[in-house]
Amino acid sequence: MYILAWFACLFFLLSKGEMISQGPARFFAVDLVTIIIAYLLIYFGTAGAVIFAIGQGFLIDTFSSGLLGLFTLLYLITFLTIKFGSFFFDLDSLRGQIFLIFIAVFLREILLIAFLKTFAMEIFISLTDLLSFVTSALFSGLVAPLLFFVFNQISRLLIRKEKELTYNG
Amino acid sequence: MNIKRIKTVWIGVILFFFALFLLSSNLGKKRSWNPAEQIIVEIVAPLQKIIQQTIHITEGVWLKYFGLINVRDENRQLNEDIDALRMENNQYRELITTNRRLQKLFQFQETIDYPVLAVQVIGRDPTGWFKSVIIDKGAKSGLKINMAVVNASGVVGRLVSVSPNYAKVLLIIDQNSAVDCIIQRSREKSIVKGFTSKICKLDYVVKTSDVVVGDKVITSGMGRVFPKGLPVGEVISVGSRPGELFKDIKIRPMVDFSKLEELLVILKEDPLSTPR
Repeated sequence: MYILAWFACLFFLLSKGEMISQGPARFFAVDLVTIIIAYLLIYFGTAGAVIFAIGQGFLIDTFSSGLLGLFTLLYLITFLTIKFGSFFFDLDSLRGQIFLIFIAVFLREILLIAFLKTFAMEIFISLTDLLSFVTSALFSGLVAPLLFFVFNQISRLLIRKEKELTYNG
Repeated sequence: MNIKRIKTVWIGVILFFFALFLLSSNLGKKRSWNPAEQIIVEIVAPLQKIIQQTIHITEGVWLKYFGLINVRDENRQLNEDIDALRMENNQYRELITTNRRLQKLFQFQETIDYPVLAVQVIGRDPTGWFKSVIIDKGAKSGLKINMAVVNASGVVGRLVSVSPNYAKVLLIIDQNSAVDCIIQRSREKSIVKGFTSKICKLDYVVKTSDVVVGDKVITSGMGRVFPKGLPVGEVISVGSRPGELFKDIKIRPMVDFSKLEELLVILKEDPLSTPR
């Protein structure tokens, strides 16, 4: 499941640029990386989630033309947000998943702008951009429980297949 | 011979002669039905009509039934044929549009003095914040950092990262991109910088300079990256803020960055760029 998550995210990143360039799609852009970080934190522990967050951040940095290390840092902060938030909200509950993912995605967007301004990169932010932050974070939060359910189903299926193979072997 | 049989023969003879009489009496005449015939026709014709309709209905139902047995299969087959033809049609259309794009690209290529390499866009910046694309050629094809990238419409960007088989192009609409340009008409110098995904701004144009809406912006050749005279964009607004030295000018790039597919990399090396 852990390897599958990596490939799913890689596929998502490579196709995301094309998808969000299509006008209003960015308003509904789900941050799959953040959702998977949260999922891995529950089922694979802190180490698995941190490695995933840093790795995916680095991949985004590689394919984007921004500062190298920017998204690596941002996704590390995203992980910390979820980890810290999970002390106050139950990440296993529906409400906890929606709220924590929303906060993590929204904070990441805000921090991105803050970093870009700090590092003297010229970024023009319109009201539409700010609106897209909120809608994208909200949409990611709302989709998170559904994706958690799908990941659980896939995980069960993989475990069952693995057991079958073990018995047959 | 009994009497009954004689009667029958006589009746037969009389009817034969009656018929002969009717035939001979009407020879050479254009006749209509006589009153007796009309009465018969009027009585029988409705019945004939009903019979005829019944036959038609029966025939129709019968034929349709047998027809319907095959029509489902035929319909499925036809739908499959339509799908296949549509797909084929789409492929042909795609080939035609690709051909047109490549023709334009080829014509543009002939206007550039330097050797060029045709490349294909394979991906876009995943963040949405920065404007760059990944192309399918890299150092093995002779690409180097800071080489100019164009398409048939004009300047696209420059190479910022190169791997053996791929390269990253920073588009001129990225807010960290800067291209040294001139106004084609008045030869005023300026720097084109990215602003939004569809608009660029023209920096460092002093208030006394001669720039109007509609002016064409071309590369100056001063930045070492882009050869001189490549189309960059067209001025769409000229503003002037009090207390500022420079004009506030916006331009619309010649290139439609939402539809980047085939590009040309100008194989002109920047002598000051250091290999990464």
